[in-house]
Amino acid sequence: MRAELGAGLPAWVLRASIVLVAGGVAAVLAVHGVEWPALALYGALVVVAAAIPASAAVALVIGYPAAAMVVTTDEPSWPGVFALVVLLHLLHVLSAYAAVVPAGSRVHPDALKAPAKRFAAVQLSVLALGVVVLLLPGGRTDAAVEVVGLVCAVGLVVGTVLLMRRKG
Amino acid sequence: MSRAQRLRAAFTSGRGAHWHPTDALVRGLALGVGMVVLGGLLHEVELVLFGAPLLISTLVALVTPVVGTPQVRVRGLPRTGEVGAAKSVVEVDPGQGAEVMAIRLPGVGEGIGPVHLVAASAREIEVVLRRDAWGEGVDLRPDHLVAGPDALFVHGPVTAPERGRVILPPVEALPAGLLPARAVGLVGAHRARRPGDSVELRDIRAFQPGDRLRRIDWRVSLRAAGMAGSAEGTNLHVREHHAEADADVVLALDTRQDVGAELGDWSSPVRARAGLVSGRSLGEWSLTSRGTTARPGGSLDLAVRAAASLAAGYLRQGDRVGLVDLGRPQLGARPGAGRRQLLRLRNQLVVCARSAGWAQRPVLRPEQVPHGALVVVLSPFLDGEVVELAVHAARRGNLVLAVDVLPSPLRADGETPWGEAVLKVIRLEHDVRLEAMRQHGVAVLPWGAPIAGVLRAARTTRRVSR
Repeated sequence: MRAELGAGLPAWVLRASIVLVAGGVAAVLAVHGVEWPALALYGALVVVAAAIPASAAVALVIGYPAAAMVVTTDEPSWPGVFALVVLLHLLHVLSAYAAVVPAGSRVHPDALKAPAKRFAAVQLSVLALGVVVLLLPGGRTDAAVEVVGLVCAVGLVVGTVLLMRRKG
Repeated sequence: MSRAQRLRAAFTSGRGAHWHPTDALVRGLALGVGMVVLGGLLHEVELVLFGAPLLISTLVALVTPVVGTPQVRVRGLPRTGEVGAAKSVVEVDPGQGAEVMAIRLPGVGEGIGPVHLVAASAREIEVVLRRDAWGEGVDLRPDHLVAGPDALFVHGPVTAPERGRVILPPVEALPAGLLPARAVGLVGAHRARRPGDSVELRDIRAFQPGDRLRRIDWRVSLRAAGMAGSAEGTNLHVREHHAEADADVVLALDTRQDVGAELGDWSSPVRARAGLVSGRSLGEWSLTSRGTTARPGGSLDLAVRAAASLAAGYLRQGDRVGLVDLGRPQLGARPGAGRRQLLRLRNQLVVCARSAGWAQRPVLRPEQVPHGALVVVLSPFLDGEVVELAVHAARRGNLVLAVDVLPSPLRADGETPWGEAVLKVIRLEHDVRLEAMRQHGVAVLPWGAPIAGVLRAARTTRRVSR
């Protein structure tokens, strides 16, 4: 397939999107009662993450709201949770792409079509899982089920490590 | 793997021309697994939901096979070109599983361009190469990095070899009157002093054995016979015509100096239009980042453009044009005619400009100038040696045309109180040199002035002085 190279968008659009999405995350946190000092710290992390998308700051920008949401709220507020599910994943994907292109590069929107489709597919599956969790009756889980769950989680980790070794 | 390769791999953290995981993969794996496991342990379902998309997208990237070595090739890039835009095609084979590719390609402006993030499905990318300056330069360097799903695995970055073109000096259409239409015996008009077969009358003389009968001028012969009172053949007269001859033109390019209009830049680092150019000597600033081989608008740029335009004009008239580099005599081109000679000369002008600035004294050997050739000396005439060279060429019997390519008007260095005084001294010395050449029969003119009248005047001066 022959393609003509157009002008494309400046790469700072990706970094600006990171800031924008992180702003949305901060808004959700503010609505759920996270204090302003904590939000200011989060803002500083966002600035670092936008400037250096390949840094560990991105992991903090994603992990911080998740931890804050769990710590500050006793009962999960489902609209906020669902919004963070989308926004945190979007932060992860945007940072991954922003990390592989220099700041002065040009981004052609066609390149992001396939990632956008996969993002939508992953989100649909996770949100469906969330709806299922929402519909399931609450209550204490049996100890045996929890042990099985833990074993499954360990198996998940082992599986991913094995997959990585095969790739490498 | 050699020791050097191992060291390089260690310093670049394993990045380079092979598939390797990125920080995003580690992040997705650590946060995804961590949040899912922690959420399970703490009975916090929202943590599981936060971690699930990261874990799923990471797993998708892990199970998607990304194999093969991405290949990037440049097709249809000629070795030489003209100023302006040209098209080329970059062929891409990104390998299996690749999704996006960051590749450095020329964009809107000049140069090798920025990195473009494009879809890896594009197998051929058409790029527009734009160069507004003549000379050697790099047009393409398709550095690339190929990424798998969500950029969790990447191949590269790979620094590609540079691909460049030689942009030939532009040929400017000379205004009417610039070239001499009939410079006798020298250029273009094909009229030599010796007798020949052209249609232009040279003389009427008495018949001699060997003359062709068809050349007899019967009217003159009868009148001469009538005046002598005899009708015999002893008073036959013939019409003699001029010969047609190829004219030789030698373009003598002074590549020793390249100066701009700003006097302050003559001895300080050059500030090129596109950025800083390091170094102080001409040799150092002969190659700028834009790929030009002379400073834009400088004397060498002007001289090369003038030489290309003059060569095109004379070759169009059917003359033989050669090139001599006064700084490096071995870089010249022998006189020749035709369209191929114009291409050869323009290529050679670029070669001369590339190695400019190394010689102290100009050299023009007698054997480099054919007998009777017009010598066009293109120089800013900032020293006496080139003036002596032009005068010596004139004394050898050649008609010499000195084309002054010193940028005008010169501007004084504003950073020193001596700027105006220095400018005045340089101007006066320059004027003295030009006047000295005029007095020795060298035709002198600035580039852009009509040549024909000056050449005619110089020829007349030489005849009178003889």
